[in-house]
Amino acid sequence: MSKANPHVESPPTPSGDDAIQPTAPDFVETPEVQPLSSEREHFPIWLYLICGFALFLAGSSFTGFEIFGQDLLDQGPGGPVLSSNSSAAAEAPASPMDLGKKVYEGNCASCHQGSGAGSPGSYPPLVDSEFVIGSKERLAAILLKGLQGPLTVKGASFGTSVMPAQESVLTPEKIADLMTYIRGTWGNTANAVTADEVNAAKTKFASHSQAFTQAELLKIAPNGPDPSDKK
Amino acid sequence: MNSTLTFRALFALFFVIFLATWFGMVVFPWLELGHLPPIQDEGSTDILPWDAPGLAHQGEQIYAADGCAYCHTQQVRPSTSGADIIRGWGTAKDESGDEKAPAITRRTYPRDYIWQGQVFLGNSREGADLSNVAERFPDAAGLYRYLYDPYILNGHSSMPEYRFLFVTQKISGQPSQDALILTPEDAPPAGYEVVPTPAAKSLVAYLLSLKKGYHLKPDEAGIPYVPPTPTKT
Amino acid sequence: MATLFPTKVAPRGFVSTDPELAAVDASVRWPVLICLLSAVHWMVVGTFLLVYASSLTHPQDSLPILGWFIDLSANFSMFTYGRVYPAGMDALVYGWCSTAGLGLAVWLLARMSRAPACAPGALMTAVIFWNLGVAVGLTGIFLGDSTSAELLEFPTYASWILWFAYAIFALWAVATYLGRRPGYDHIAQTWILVGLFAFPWLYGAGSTLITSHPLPGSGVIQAVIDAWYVHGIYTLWLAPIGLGTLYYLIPKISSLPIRFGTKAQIAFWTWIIFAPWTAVHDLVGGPFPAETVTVGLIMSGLIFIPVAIIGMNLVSTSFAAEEQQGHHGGIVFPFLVLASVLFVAAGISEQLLSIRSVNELLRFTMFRECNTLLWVYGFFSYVVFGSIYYIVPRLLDFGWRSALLIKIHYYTSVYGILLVLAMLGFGGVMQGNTLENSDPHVTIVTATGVIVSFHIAATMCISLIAIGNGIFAFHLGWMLIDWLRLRVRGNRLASEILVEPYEGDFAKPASEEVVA
Repeated sequence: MSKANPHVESPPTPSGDDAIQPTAPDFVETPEVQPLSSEREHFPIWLYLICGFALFLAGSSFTGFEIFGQDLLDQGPGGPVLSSNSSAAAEAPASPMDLGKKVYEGNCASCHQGSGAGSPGSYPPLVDSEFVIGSKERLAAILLKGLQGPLTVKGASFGTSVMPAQESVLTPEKIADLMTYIRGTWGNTANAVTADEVNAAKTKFASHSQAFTQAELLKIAPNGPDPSDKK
Repeated sequence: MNSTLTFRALFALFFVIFLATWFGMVVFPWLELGHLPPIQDEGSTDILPWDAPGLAHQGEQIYAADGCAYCHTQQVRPSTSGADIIRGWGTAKDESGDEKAPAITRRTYPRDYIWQGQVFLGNSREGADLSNVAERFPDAAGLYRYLYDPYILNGHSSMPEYRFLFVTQKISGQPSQDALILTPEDAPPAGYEVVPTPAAKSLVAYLLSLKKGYHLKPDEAGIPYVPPTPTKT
Repeated sequence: MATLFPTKVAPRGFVSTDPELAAVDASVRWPVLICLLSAVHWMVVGTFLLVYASSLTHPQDSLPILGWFIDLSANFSMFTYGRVYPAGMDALVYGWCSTAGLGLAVWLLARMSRAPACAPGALMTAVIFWNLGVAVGLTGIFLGDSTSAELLEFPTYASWILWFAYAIFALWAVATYLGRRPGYDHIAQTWILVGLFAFPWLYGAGSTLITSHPLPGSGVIQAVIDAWYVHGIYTLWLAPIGLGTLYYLIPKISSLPIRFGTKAQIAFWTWIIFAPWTAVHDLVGGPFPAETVTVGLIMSGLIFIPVAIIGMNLVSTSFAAEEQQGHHGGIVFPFLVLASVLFVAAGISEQLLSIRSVNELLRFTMFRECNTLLWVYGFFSYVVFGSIYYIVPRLLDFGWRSALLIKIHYYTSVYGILLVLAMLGFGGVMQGNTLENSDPHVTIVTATGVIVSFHIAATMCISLIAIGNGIFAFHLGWMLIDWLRLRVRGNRLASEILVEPYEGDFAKPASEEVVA
């Protein structure tokens, strides 16, 4: 080291095969080289092939020829559709229980909970509830028009919240699937409900614009299994 | 090769290129969508989009401060660009006029956001899209309970609990009107109640304002509009 | 027998064989050192915050120890995910990447100007204010003043501090470039300059339009500006600084000119034309004009041109260097090679997202986070690690303490980052498939169930990265302490070599002689 400080000794040379040499590029300033090579080199063929494919994918966005997808423009006719069931129409038919479960999770579980347990004092439970496993017409009335006022379910009293009407949010088919689901899950074993039965209830209660009270519900049908539910 | 370009030429080129991308990506959309006026609804006297009450605008601050936008989006893509409509996130009860009208299922349009001070379109869906969350949580009590304990609805949920938005206080005299009704696991000890703070109330007011149950005409961006065919209800 | 890493480092000294460059290094020693050290500090902070945030994304019964974390986040607003996650990302982007990027930019510009730097005092002020701005900004996020716009969460009072600090850096950079020794131009200079030019535009427009003076009634334009900003940071700030460093260090260390160098200029210009349009990846399908999105997808779809050229430039040169030298280049090269490869990976990820159908699938999923981490933790972090291992000995005239620690750091980091990218990437695809399922029975509940295990895996992998980075920080601290002991106590070690001051004439071209 010709410029070493004369007051300091040279470092001992590291020994052993695996020791880094003092001239390793990390520890010395290597000679300056021209940073970019000026040779005319050609890219390998596979790079052109890959880039050609990438160009094709990029251009497909513009030409509208999408390998996997559809539309040219960012927006399609995403306007209002006829009913919220129409996108499901093309799918393979699923069981009412599955469809009802989906409706339940989307609309009801926030209050009545995913387990159907409800909330003491506020939202009645659906598990083994006399209103759920009882008369179908009465249950349809609750769903279509809503429920207000105090309610006694399984001896416990509820009433601080109003159950909103689902008539304008859910089609009769969806209400029927929902009723089938809640009547047949969490240990409930009541029978299924068809859309015709819901439509019949809808016609029957068409003039009843307010939410039902408990007294009115008990007048529709007393507690006990639905007449069609023969065990 | 660099030395052929002087400093000034280099910077001039940078400037021009950046200006071009700035114009293309920011200025042009701003010219198209940055000044959307509200419109008058045809069927009723509503001004669309609906504006939210003042408390809801305060709730936007809480939404921003607590970073809800890192897991929730507020944009519904059209059915040609994704399955958002199939997930049901674009469905809202039609509150614009006829009570018997079927539910509206649509994407979100730029005009839906013009009243929002801060727009939280979001980029990640750890949780559901919130454009129409008020349809799925019909009242404040449900939302309070969900913020207090998100596992109620979804045992796999990665949504954090927001217990700092609530206060557990001793019941003095009458239980409070706003007291949360909780399951036995979450309930406070006897004699105590859980009450939402003003921050929680404003956040819930904001969330309850998130519904898009009105028909919107296409805006200047040229989105085709398909009026609904009335069905027999 | 060549090994990936040597098992012993050089004795405590460092041999500087180019006195001119040593003098340049000495003139920017303190600003660059403080930049790099404070960057490492923010890296530790940010990594810890991200590990914590990641641990909150899966339910508590997955790992009982998490119960304590989750209780913390539930009961204190400061620790909720929505504050910890942006704080962690901002600490990484502004504290780690940007601070280190500024330090690298200063060092590279000084070196390539081949003259001792002017006004190092002003630079020190800038560094201190920059760190202050980051600290104030992070505090603001924890206190609830976050704007919730990605990467622009810092409240107004913090963004002004960052702006002021940056202005000093920018002025210094211009002065240095104008005062450079003529006839010695380097492509790295062009890359660094475009990064330094783009950042004030990006940050100025972004922080003004989102944070301090949001346009009233702008609605969805806020999202457009945020998307433009985020991808501008990745492609016009992080990428140029990182690539400039790679274009400088790889030929420097390996003494091989960059292969396919004739195409490097094309790569540069096509990158800055096409890459910023990757912003529209966050706008596809949303309430935005169709024309902008379509044009953007095409422009960002052409990103393969610069990525391919840069990939061939950097990766093939690195491999050629390895072949030629028979070993893997010591301690710095493995990091630089990995950075080059991860840059190509980031480019491929952006290319994938520019395909409309892939974008629809992956847009709102964990894949987006994979893309972010590729830029921040993958590509740029490895550039900085390699550079720190190269630069700090030259600034301190002092060697690293242990090759074993460097080896451990490398392997834990590599496994950590590759695994976390795989987990997030694959998890994103699974999540996307579930969210985009055409079966209406599939709900968000199903989707969250699908990704739980990916979240858990990601947390474990990020923890691995954190361990590696912790070892790196420890090693750096150890080196500093030993160096301080040397300086303060005056313990002259027999094996120490000091750098001689340059007594020559700066006007003359650099000497050809290499002192071995």
